[in-house]
Amino acid sequence: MKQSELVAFILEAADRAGVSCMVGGSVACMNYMIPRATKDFDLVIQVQEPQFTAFLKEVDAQFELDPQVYVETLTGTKRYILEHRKTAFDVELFILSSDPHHLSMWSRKRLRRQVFCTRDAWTPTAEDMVIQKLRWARPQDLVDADSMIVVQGDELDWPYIEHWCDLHGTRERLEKIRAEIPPIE
Amino acid sequence: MPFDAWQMVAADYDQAMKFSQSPIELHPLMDVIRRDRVIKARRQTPEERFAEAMEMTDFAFEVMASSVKDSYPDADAQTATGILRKRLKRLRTREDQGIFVPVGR
Repeated sequence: MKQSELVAFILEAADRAGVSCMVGGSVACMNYMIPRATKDFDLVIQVQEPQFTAFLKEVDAQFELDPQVYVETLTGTKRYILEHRKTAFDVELFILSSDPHHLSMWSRKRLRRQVFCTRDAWTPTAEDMVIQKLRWARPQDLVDADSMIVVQGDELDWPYIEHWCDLHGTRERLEKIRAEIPPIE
Repeated sequence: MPFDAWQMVAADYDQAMKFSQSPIELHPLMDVIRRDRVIKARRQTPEERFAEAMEMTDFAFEVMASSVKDSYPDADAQTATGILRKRLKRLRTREDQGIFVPVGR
């Protein structure tokens, strides 16, 4: 099974199990920037029983749940990893946290058609992905933030991004990227 | 790596985006290529960009799998997948530093 088919499989499993979810991380950014490959698929889920257990049962034939749990140090978000049994492709499951920006991102998500598998998936907005990437600020995150800003241009809701960057203390990173973008068209 | 150290890495981003490691005579060409990629991405729909990224990901995994087979020609499929998984896990551990920490099982 190809990686794109595994993404479709996970989305369909979540749908069948009735799990509320949203595509996250770099895969979500792909909607808004210069496309690039990724090594895994991030999915943000709202944990509710019995739907979550049903979801794990749905994916069990293809994926094994890594017993090691991880916590994101900035927000306390929990991350679980589903390892595909036959390939090295992983799915990172992020549990929706009570972090104010995560809740805002969740409330603003949009249903987008995923043409590679002809199905819809809830996806964060470009603004929320820029904010998230500036917050993590690893080298690849900053490259992704730059790519989203340059591709989206004036379509971005700047007051919204600036509001959250001020709260997160990441405004300097944002302004640095904006200042260095050359005129394109 | 402590979180502060990540900020130092992030500061290197300026240099990375200025292609400081590449020959200076190539910079105009690299600028044109980047400009063309941005223009193409702007003309695509979000769905088209996502589909293209998924195609690239499929291709990247094929290349990575070929690389493992090249290094370990006698490895069966399960062993080869294990080797690739180990490589990608090292990458995740590197990326996780300062952001994600393992908690008790």
